[in-house]
Amino acid sequence: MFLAIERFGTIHDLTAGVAWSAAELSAEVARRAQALATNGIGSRSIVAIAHGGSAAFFADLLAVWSLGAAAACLDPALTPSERENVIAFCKPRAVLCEDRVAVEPGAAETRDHAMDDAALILFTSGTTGAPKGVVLSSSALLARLSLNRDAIGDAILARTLVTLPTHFGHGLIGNALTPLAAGGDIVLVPRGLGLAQQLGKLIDEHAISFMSSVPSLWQMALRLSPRPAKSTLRRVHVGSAPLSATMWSRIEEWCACPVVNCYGITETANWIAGASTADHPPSDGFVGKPWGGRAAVVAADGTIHGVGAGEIAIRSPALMTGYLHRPDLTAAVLRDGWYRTGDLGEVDGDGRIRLTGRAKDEINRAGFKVQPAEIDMLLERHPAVAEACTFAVPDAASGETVAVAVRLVAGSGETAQSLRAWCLERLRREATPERWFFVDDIPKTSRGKVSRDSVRKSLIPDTP
Amino acid sequence: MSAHATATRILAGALMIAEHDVPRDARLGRVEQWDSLAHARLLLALEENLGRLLTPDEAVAIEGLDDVAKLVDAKR
Repeated sequence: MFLAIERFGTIHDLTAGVAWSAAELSAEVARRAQALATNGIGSRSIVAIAHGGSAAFFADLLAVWSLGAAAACLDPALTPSERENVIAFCKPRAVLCEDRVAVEPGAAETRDHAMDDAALILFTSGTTGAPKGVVLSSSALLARLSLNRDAIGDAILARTLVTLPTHFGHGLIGNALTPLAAGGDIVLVPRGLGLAQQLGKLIDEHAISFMSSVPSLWQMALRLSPRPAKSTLRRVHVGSAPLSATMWSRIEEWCACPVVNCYGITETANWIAGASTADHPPSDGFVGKPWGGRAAVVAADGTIHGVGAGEIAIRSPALMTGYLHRPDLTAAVLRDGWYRTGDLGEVDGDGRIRLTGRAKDEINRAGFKVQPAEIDMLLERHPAVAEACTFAVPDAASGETVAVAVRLVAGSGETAQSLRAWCLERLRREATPERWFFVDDIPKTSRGKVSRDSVRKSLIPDTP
Repeated sequence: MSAHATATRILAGALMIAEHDVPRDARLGRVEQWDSLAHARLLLALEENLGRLLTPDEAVAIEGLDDVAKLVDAKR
């Protein structure tokens, strides 16, 4: 994967207190690449990067790419057992942590890298069960970066605030690599409550012209942070979770610039479409026209139609190659060049998309995707849990939150607190259930299957 | 119901824990569940209870259960 680092802007890492110009970054990349090459890392290698959100992360990522290898970017917040599980699955030649490098011995590899070779692997689920790693090739990534720049404009990308994690396609590809490829500067900031409280000040202090975000950031920032006093912001993206028209309008009022409701999926290398308030008034679920590629809907009989309602399918030069080591999962969603998103919506005669819901069980907690089956399987390993059914519950702050119905083994004294503590030792925090229901029986369909919707409705009747 | 009891109920809902598990001296960052999303949930729940939007000064000042109780009490 080749990116012209010498044309990048400066990476400002506010946590580490460093600012690396393109020249300084190039020197760091060369130094790290040399160390990896000495250990035989080359174009057939996968290198796991287990840290993120820093200038050092970008130096590691670009060093891996300079050798023609593929980078698997792991969530730094994974528990040790989750990390071990992912590493056992993707079998990297090296694991790069903030303070150390672990390398598996092996034969030296060449630097030959074809455009269709894997460049980036992002994990969307399965950190406790079988991992689901989205493989993006160099050609897919370069296509996405080019399409993003075309849709946004390089001048707007001059100074970008990175508010999202870098193991996340939205944060890495959209919020960070797109502006860097456009020659812009990026500003990496610590996330959490402090970011929401300081947002207006950060935008002013760093003359931010562009940023992306998830809706949950705005739930906080609109209440906690004064608006920016200066008028540097030129465009703001919001994505990874549904954005209501009301929230969209309030964000635009706060930002005083066009706000774009973006549709992005890791499997499409991040943003595939976006609707800007510069062109349309805010409207629930409206995400506009694709930025390169086409959108269609899948009819009940499985045929693809350019107009209509149903599951949204995407064809794009930025599509993933498939899921790492999972041809079964790949075949289920990637057919005849179309990616079946699992999102329900409508495509109109002009190719514009409106999202209306989800066809899959996936839970979207503030932009982070959680696979309920993964949580069920983990909980059912607990000796006191006879059966578990994880499901989404609508939540005003995070869009959805993770809830679980648990049938305990008779005589067990486990509580929500004790089970949550057990989960936190094995599961990243964002996936750990927040709402717990203890039941005598988990209802099944007539075929004996668990319906997550039915379980949710039986426990929380006022949910849709 | 006292302001403190109402505040405890609101905070328990935001943190998604039982009311009896809310410490009397609960503070942001000192209760495991009280993260930024739970804080957002708390602000939304408080606004619903008060029947109005919080001012930026009020929102920024909320760091503990006592701060929630003060706002609930001021409504009375």
